[in-house]
Amino acid sequence: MSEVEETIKRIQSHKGVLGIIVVNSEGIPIRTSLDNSTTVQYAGLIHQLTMKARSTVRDIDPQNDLTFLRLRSKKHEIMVAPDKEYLLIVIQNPSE
Amino acid sequence: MFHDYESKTFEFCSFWKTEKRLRDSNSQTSAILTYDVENQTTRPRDAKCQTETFSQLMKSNFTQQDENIDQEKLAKFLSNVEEVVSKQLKINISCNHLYPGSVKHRNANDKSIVCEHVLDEEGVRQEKDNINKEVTCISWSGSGASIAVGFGTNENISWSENKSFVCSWNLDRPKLNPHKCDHKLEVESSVQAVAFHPTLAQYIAVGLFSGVVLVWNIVKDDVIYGESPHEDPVTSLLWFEHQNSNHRYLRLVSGSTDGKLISWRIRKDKDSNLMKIDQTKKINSKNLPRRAGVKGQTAIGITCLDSPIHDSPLPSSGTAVVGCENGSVIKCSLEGMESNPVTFVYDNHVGPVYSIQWSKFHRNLFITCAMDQLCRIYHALQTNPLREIRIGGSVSNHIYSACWSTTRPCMAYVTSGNDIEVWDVTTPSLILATKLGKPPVTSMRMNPSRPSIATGCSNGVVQILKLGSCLVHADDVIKEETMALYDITKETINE
Repeated sequence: MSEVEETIKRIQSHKGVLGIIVVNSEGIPIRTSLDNSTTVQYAGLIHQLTMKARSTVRDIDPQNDLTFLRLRSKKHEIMVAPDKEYLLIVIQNPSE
Repeated sequence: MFHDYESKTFEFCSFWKTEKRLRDSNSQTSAILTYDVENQTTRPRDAKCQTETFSQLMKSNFTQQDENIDQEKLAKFLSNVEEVVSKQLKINISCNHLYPGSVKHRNANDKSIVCEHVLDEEGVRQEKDNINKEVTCISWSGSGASIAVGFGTNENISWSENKSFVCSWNLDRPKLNPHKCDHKLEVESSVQAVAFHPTLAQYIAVGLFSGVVLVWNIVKDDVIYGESPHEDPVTSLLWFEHQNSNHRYLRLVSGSTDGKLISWRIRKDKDSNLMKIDQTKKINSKNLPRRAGVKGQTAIGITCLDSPIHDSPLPSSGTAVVGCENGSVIKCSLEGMESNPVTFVYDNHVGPVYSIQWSKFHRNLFITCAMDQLCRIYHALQTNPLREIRIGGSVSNHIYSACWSTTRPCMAYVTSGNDIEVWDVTTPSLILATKLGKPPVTSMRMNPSRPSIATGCSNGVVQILKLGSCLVHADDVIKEETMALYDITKETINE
């Protein structure tokens, strides 16, 4: 438990990080630093988007795979690091 | 006698009766095709099923966390991913200025004005027997990275022949030495006005107490003098451009207490020793209406001037608004061939007008401050001011300078004695007052592109102050404040 928690705390301590969510392969969040409803919303939507992005990359080149996804909006940036079984979502407000 | 007689019958063929001709015939249709189909309805059956809602799933997952998740795999995943993500997070923080559209988060509690740098030039300080050690004027470069400071003295009574300096610092340099400036120019008289060109940051215009106007090219370390000086100290300088200009020339206008507004031009490409005079205009009291309160035919000395900026980074409208020694505030035209520039005269202040500035957010508003401790907001088309701000504090607190905030439409900064006061002009109400330090602030300039203010004091020290986020970031309130500014103009014009 400690290693996982420590890593999450470290990532969260960066400047401007608003929240961090770890999602499993089914789209269910397993660790989060935000409130329930926001987490559920983010997990579902981002999971779908990541699947779509990954399939896009693989359709273009089957040898290729998605390594990192960044979504930049007016208010903040959402970074997604995908893996075979898990998904890490970090939300950051860089202008703070 | 009578006997029966029968006559013969007659027969004749009928013309119309004919014998009907009849024929028999039969017909039969083909066999009718029929189909037989049977059909039967099914019996319905009911069945139910239900999924858990996502939140319930999540809750159940949370409670069973430690059993369902392979902690090792999770830890491994996180350690793999942490590096990449952390690197990206750090890059984002350092590069956030590259994304111009981002909404700046305004920290409403950060109303601080903090001193970032204190600059004073050793060379000037250590000059013995030189009274020209006060900071008389400051100018920021167009990008906000460099600052030019003119040293001199504000207490000149007689003709000054003491040498003085103009110093320039580039605040972005990592090895910023606050005690030694990056460029220094020695001039023969006290510096009264200094102005960076808004787009070409190598040119600094300097106006001296002796009436000389010169342009210093920092890059070539070269000085171009004006053809002929003013008769009195130069008090204000403004770079501008003509509307239909051929961009071969740099244009400058200088105002002085001899009442003259001289437009200068410099050829950009050719090296020249002298700056040629384009036009001279003079404000004479006979051209002012009686309500300005000036008698006779004297020239009215100019103490400050400013011109509105619309589209280009330089003022190009050809009109400027001028503050005078006697307190008059006059709108002048810089174009045309007449020697009288006056187009409109506003209500006077009592005492010399120290500073004047057009608002960036409204085409027709400008702020003035004068010796009578009043700061006024005027509308360009109306003689009496829309707002008057009386600066509190003792009578000895001179207001030397007032300027608009560069990001918030309704905010103005005023220096009063040792303080900088931040006012909201719509009500008007004081938002904040910050004490600066011992000697009173004599000049203040806002940085055009960054949230900082430079203030100069009479002991030769320039302080660069950083403004807190509440005073600077305006994305969420800019619409309301611009509307509020427009509302002030509407309310008094209808009176």
